[in-house]
Amino acid sequence: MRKKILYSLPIISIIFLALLLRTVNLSVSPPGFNADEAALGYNAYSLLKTGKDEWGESFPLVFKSFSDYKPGLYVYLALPFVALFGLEEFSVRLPSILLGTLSVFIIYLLAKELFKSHILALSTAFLLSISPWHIHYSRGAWETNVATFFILGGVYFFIKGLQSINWFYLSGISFILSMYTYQSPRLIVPILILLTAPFFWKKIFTKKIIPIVAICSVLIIPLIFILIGNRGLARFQGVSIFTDSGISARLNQDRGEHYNPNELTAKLYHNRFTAFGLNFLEHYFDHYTPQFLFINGDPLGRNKIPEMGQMHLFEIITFIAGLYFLLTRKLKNTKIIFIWLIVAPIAASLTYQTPHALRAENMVIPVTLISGAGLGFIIENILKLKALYKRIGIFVTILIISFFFSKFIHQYFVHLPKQYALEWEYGFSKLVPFIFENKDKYKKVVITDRYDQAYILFLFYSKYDPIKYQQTAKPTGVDKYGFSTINSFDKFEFRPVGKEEAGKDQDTLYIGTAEEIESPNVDKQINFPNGNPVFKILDGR
Amino acid sequence: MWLRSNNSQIKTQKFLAFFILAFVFIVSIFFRTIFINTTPAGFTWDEAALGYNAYSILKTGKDEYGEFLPLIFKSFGDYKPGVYVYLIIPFITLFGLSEFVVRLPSVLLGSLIPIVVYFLVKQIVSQYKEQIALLTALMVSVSPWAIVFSRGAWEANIAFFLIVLGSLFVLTSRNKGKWLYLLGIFCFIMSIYTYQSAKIIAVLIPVGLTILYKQSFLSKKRIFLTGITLIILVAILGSTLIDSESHSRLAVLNQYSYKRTSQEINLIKSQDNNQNLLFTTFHAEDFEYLKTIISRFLYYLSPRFLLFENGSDGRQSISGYGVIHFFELPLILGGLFFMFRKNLESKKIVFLWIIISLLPAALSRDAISQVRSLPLVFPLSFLSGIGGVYIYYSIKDKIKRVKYLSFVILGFCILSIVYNLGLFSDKYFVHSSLRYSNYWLYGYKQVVEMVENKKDKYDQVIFTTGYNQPYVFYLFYTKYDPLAYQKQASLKRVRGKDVGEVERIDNIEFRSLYWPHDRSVKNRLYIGTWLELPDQDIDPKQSKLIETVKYLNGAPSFKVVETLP
Repeated sequence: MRKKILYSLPIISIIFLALLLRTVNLSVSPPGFNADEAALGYNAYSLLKTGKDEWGESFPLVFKSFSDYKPGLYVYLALPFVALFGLEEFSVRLPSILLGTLSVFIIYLLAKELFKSHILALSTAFLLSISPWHIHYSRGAWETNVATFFILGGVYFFIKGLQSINWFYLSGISFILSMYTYQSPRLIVPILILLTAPFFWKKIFTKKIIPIVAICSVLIIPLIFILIGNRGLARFQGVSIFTDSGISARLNQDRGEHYNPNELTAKLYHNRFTAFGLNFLEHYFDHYTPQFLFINGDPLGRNKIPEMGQMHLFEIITFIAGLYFLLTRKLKNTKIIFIWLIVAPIAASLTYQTPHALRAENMVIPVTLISGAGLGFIIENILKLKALYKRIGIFVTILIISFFFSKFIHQYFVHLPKQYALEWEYGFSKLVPFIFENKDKYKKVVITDRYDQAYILFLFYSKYDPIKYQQTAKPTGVDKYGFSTINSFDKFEFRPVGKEEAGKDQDTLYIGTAEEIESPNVDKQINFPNGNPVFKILDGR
Repeated sequence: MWLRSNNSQIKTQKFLAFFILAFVFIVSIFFRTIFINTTPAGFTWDEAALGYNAYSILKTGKDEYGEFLPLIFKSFGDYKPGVYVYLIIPFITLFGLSEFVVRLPSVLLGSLIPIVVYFLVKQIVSQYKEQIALLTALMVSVSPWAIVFSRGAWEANIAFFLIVLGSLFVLTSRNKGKWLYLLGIFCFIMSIYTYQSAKIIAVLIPVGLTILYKQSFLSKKRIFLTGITLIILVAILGSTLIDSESHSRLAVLNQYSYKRTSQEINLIKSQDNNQNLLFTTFHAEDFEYLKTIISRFLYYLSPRFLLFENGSDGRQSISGYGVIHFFELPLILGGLFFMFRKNLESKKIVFLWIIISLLPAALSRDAISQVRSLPLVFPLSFLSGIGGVYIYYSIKDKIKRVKYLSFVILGFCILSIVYNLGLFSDKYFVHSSLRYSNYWLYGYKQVVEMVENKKDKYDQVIFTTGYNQPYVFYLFYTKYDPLAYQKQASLKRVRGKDVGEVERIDNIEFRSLYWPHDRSVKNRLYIGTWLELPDQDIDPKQSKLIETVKYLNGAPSFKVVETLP
């Protein structure tokens, strides 16, 4: 018994550490609650109150939201927490936090199956628990993080299934759930399975697989309808390289540079296939640069931790050690790590913003498996050393890891909130309660549309009655990226605040940015953590 | 087919190997000479300077500044190591001075690199010797990286040749004549006098090779100690020689000159509430420096760089194409895989070479420099070679079980390789010459010819320095008498630049134009950049636009304007 406790003590503390890193100081960093999170939360709330989403549709599998048609599973996962704790930031984020923490345990189990070593499994779980990439997305309501959990589960049960076939049920279900959670897995998971299956041909293709395939096929039917019905692809069309007009412009330029634009070579080397193929490859390989993985990370503010890569800098060493370990040891099932590593950014590479840490988040698992194997391998070798060297080795390892870990903590909690408050839509949690206290004094409230989808944050923080909302909301058409928003509901109008206009009308309350309302004499001002104003509030009185 | 062998088979094998090697050489020459008149689409200052100095040495025994047979040429004040200049001289005696002749040493030695690599690889591998050596040589012969730098007068290409050759001699000396070791060292010393950035490589590679194979060198201790001492001495001597004359240039080359801006630093400090301890712990300058070096170093090995990176200098790259072919990537990955799986002896030398050849590039000022990292061609092609051969032997038997499968796979491979080489040729020979003709200073030749024909009609010719070093093009294209030039040669230092400028030759003045002022001086010929001579400001009463020279993509480069007498 004591032995058992002693054996499981390390992984329990690692899971505890993971949970701690995913929950501590949530109100400080990330510095805000973004529109997508609010949409997930408010739709869950709307379902609870009315049985319908914000657009009046009952229990959909796909939520229209900003016309981006969000895959719906996250909303249903958040539902019980919203019911229990009310419509709060924390309850919406809880599914991601909990499943993110659980991922650390699953990767431990998976690593144990793959590497057959307790130390290697522990180091893998440890590295995932402190992974900047994984922590960042576990601290917000990000569907991609839940999807990553389900893919991880699918892979783990797949490996278990190679020993006893009934695990394939769980594997299949887990994979399918990931596809109901987020867009990327809809492409990645099928490719992952198609590339992996041939290597394990004999163990998979038995009679017993038939009922499993049958059940999975049934579960996947609704998804097929979603994808055929065009709504599932709406978001993809907004961001994909296939709708990027720059590519066909370049294609024409390329052909024009030939003596005769219609000659055979011009057509052979400059056609839609080569243009999109090369463009895809370029985006694809963006995800394997040292800058993305170790130095600067994702270029978009909402996905970024200042001065940090997606992984810790010291993981360059463990990653290389891990590659060495995996290539020299002939461990049976480890090929699945490499297949996953190759497949992970495929969906993200079909879009034009790359490297994209969010859409390619599932890549964190294969890279951490390799890095973790490397760390474990290094530790195992240090433990084999003689007394003094062993101590020095352990000391140096701990020193290096602690330095980079504290650097990460410093960046995450000190610099991130000051640097990317705008990207995280900081300020609405203070603004909305203030407006709702005072709104009865005015006929109209005009709110700047400079911040993405402000309406949903208003709904969220005011816990606005979904029925009343559905009656008064005035949606816009979709823009060129495929998004729509809400122009007005109730007495709230979302539009740019004109420089002349603010403060003229007695019965209107204006909320603008610092550029829109230049006057320093305002009724109230809400500031970013770095001191610059987010909102200036002004009425005509 | 090489494995089961008896005497007569060995003969046919040798013949076959020779035949394939000859084919590799032909391919090599083909890719390095075809369309050489149009790609690269121009001629750089450095090339013109190398050519004219060689011409000057040939005619007078002295360089453009009257220095007698120097090892290092002052040129624009960048102090060019001199081996390349001396390599051009015999070709000038044979064919006269021309752009192609200046490039000829690079073309020829560049074409020979695959052959040297073939023998070098045979010294390194133990299994599938012949196959891996031939495939590696073939990979080098079609390597875009090697091809680009073999088609211009790049000193780096000669240095690369000398480094490969030196390594071959050093390794061969293990079982053949020990004097080969010193011959190898001599090659490395030569490479230092060919290309500045080569010196780290030229010292570390022979030292590394000697240490790697120390067992075989132990019996010849004295020789290799002499060799190593020699190369280190020369490196120190050579670099002090170059450094003392041009240390301002090296200061610019140092990476420390690329710090974060004070704005960035202040932002970080203010976010830290100005606590200095936090700043020195987590944001120290040295830490950032380390990060930059690591990231640059690894970027050179990332597929993003290898397949797509164009960098900021169009002379060093192919528009829309990287430094390796697409079909090489799976071969390189296969090579890495088998090197570890089979624990091949050659992995040590591959990694030694990769690390050493990336040092000059990772430590230099430019974020991306294909020319400084050129020696990386060898380990990458070697990995391709290993990958190709081991993949073939590991799937051979499996494929044979299914009828015709081998033909399908072979057909597919050949088709994709041919298509890929076609894509490369399209990007390089068709598109790069159009798009990068500005980097290649297209237009100087036409303009100099015009100046030479007309200069006597005017009191003075003003030639812009907007595209840098016009004087050397004038000297080169007019084959200006070196004796006459040496008398008037004088290089003026330019503040804020790492090279100097020549101000006048005869009645030609080299400076940047200031049209509002220059337009009023009569009977002059002006050669300006298109920005210096705007069309709307050319008043027909005072002056006449004679010609606008255009780049190959149609954008204007030079404008030639005369003011009326």
